[in-house]
Amino acid sequence: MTELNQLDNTFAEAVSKRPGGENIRNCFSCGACTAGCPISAIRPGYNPRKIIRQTLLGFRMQVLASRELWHCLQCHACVSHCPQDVRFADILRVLRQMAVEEGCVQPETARKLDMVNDELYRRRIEIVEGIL
Amino acid sequence: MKKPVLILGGGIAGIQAACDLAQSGSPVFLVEKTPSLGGRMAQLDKTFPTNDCSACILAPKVTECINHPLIKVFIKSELLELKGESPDFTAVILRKATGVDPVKCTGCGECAKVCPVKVESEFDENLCERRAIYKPYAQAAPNKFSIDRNACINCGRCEKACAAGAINRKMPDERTLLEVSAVIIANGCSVSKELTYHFGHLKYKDVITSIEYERMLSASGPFGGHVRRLSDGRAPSRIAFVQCSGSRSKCCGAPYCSSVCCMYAVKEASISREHMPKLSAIDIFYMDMRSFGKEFDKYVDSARDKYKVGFIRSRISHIERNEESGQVDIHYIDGNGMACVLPYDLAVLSVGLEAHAGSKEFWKKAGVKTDRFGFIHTSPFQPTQTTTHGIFACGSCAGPCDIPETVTQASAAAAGALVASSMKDAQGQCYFEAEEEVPERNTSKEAARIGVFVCRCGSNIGGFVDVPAVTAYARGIDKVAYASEFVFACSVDSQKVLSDICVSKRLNRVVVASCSPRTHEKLFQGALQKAGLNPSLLAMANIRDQCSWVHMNEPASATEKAKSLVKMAVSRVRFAKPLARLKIGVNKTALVLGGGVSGISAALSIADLGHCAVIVEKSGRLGGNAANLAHAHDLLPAQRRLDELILSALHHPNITVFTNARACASSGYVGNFETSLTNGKKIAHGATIIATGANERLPYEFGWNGLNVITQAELERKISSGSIAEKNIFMYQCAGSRGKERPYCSRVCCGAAVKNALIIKSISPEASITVLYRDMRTYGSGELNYQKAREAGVLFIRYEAENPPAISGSSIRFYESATGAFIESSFDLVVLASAITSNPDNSETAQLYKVPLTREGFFLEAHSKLRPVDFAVEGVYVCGLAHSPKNLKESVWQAKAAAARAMTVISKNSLEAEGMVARVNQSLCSGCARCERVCAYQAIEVKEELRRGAICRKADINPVLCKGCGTCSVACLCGAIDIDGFADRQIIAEVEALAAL
Repeated sequence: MTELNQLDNTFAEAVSKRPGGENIRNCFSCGACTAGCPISAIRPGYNPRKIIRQTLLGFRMQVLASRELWHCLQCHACVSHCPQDVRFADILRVLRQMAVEEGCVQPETARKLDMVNDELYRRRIEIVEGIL
Repeated sequence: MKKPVLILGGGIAGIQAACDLAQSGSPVFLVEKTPSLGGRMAQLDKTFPTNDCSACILAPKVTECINHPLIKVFIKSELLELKGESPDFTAVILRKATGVDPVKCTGCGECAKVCPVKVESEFDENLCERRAIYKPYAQAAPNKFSIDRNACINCGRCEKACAAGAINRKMPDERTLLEVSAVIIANGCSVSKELTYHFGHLKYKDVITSIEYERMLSASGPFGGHVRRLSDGRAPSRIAFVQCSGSRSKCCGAPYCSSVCCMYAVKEASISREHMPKLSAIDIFYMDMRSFGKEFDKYVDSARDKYKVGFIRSRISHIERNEESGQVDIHYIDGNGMACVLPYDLAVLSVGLEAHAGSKEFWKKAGVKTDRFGFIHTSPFQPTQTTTHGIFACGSCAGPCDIPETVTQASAAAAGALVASSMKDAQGQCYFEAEEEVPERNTSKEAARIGVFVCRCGSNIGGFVDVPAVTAYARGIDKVAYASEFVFACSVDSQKVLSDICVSKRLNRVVVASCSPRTHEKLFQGALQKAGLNPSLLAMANIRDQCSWVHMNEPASATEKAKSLVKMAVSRVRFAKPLARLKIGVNKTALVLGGGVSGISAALSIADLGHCAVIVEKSGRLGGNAANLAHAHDLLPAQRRLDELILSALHHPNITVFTNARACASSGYVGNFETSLTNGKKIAHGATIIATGANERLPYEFGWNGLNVITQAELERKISSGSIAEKNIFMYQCAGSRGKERPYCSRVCCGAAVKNALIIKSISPEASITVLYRDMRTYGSGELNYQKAREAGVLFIRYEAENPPAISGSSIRFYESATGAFIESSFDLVVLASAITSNPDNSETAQLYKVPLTREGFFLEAHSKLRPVDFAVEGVYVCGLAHSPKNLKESVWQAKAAAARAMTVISKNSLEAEGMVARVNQSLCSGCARCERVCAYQAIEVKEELRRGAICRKADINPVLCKGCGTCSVACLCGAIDIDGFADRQIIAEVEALAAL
């Protein structure tokens, strides 16, 4: 049981104030972001809609401390599928930033995590070249 | 004669408005862009929630419209320019050449058979081809061909093939100036073209639009009603319907809700199961199920339970074709928040509605404001009136709406236009010249002299049935004084010849052996009338449908059958009697029960037309439920506008208001009612409008206390009085609706919640507002308020019916499914969206006027689709909340529609009863009352009378109310009831003729 008044109702406001988080309140919870997400397809726990709902409801700590925050590939499929222009991929970057600022993740860890994609792209080209 | 009204658009909206105006004596110019009437509705296979065949219920309306002497239809025409102001508009109409003389064309179709050019059929959504000379669809009306000049190669073959000489390829376009008093815009909408790219439309053949699917399902459509995949022609085994393809999107398509798609998808899904019982899956992917209309939720339940339609709550992200299986994969999110994929053979995109391209710019020139999407702007209290006086709008050109709403709005627009039309007397209208009436000849003393006219219908009949042989055979039948044949019996020339022969040969009965009486009986009856014969002295033999069409491969048998049909018709018509049509006077007053916004609006419409209206209100004041409203759904204050409305009714010289009064007794029938009121007054009236409203139920079981747990109406009053100071507010939707006890949607509550949330946010932005909902039913432009409310920070949380929020003390507890969290919160105020329940007085009112109620106690209209404010009983109409839950704008629409329908009665000086009515042979009647029970029109009453000292019970049929349906005649055990025009003697003679062959 969570008591709503203990939830942080300034959280959504704070997210929406930052560049990239402006449209979070547009969300009507349709699920298109999650339906088309390549990470959700292979990782059942990863649920962009849930992250948006939690943010709107004010589950501040659950969101900022969650490992899922770092699973996103930043492919922006969610952005292109969203009918309400919520721009989840951008919201996620805001949330990552806040997670670092609020000490949920060490800056050093965050830097490492940020570099994952660079490594990924390099690996992809290596694998493709290997197959060809 | 009144000054004509111009109606733009010949779909169901234009047709309804035209018929209402014409029936009230206003001439109409009906301008239609395509070659036929019917519009979007003609394209549909079935209609919800009755699953009636769309074309079948539309056809009688179209026929009525085309045949009405006060309606002039211009096909392939459009409005170029509108000058002047009401009631003196000048409209410039472009009439594009059809290339076919409509007077000569008989619609036989020989031209299309020889036309070498094939183009895609717009009517069939490009799923099949038509010729360059064509009729859009088989039942198209007017039943005339026209040439598509963009496709025509001028080969001239059609001209040679046309036996009627109707084709004129050099026909020029014409500009026509029309002087009109008012304009009704009824030109409908387009289906959205800009669909979400990810859904694969135009990319994959097996992703089709819902309108394409309608044509696929239609038995008269390109595939004969057999659904198949466009990629490989195989029948599908899994079908998916994808909602909001082009609606409720900021990024692609339209941000508003198209209102109709949820219901048509459920209909298409249900019909799919009926067509293909073996389908392994029929799934609908949706966000909110918006089945907000009357009986709609039950329809959705039946789709789920009876037709095994799957409902998956997810907007899909995208559709991808699986190259191996050939199926299309739909990506969605399941109830547990998992990204999933399901394969389907066919995906049907529920496309939305959008305004015609360029409508905004076009109407700007006439001063008519549209919204940013191009839909014509109207206000809640005057919902048919555009921003230009004398120009009205109805149907989907003014925003997405379904067929019943379109029909309602069309009648309402007609009520408005009627005022302008009645202001002017227009003489010399060349389009509406009344024909001279020929006095009827008394044939009762003459021996039967029957004339038989056999039609070749070009080669339509003549190519299969040996018409000369049938004619010769007819000449030999007893009592036949004359027989001949026509190439086209229905052509104008033939009609003249037929009348002349009736006179010169002194014929007193006529048989026409041609096509269906459904389409042509009125025409031939007209020819008889011109010869001074009573129209009931005609009989038709349908040798086209029943001989040449069904036996096209057996010409000899077809000819024999045609002879039999002719002999039967002759035997029947021999005993036909001239039927007199009873005329009754009409009282010009309308009685309006209920003094809410509906009642007042209806009364004002009638009073503005110069007739008297009597409003009877149960309470001590006018205004009804609207007196609670702080704001209308346009977010503007309501009370000032309501006061204006009430004052204009109170000060209107033609309106009498009785408050603290109710109807307690009523007698009479259409045109001549008498109602007694509880205040002792007796009102004589010609029409009755029931606008008795409904109530907001107090939901005690949800913890209602009127203090910090209140209803929406109480919230409205709180906002009005400026006493809203609560900071933590919950709005609890469906508190009493959509449950077991009240299995219907109260329709207004989602819109009201969003509206009130926005108003409270504008008063105190720091207020925290949470809306707990099951499906957000902010249909139409309400979706834009829903969007605004989210942006303003209002939190929307969905709950499941099985797991509703619970209130205890000053805290509320609910389950949030997307996060899987149980949440408990204290609150300052909970607003319960309680159910709208029917007026408890309804059963009494229903008995007074002999009209039916639904199970929930709302009034049940004659037909949910096409007669939304009528009853089977004539002269009684319903509007507003008495009909079903609806918002203020919708109530006013219905009120004005009811007024327009009432005007079709009270604008006349006399009413003509049907000639074909049931009659009781008093000596045979046993007074068992079986007939009284089966009569749908309440036309029969068993009366007691004293005969030779004993009480006798005898059925008495009111010929004014009788529709001649014959049900009573069948139910009568004594054989005491006979139908004029279908007398037992005639039927027996007909059967004997067949037996004697």
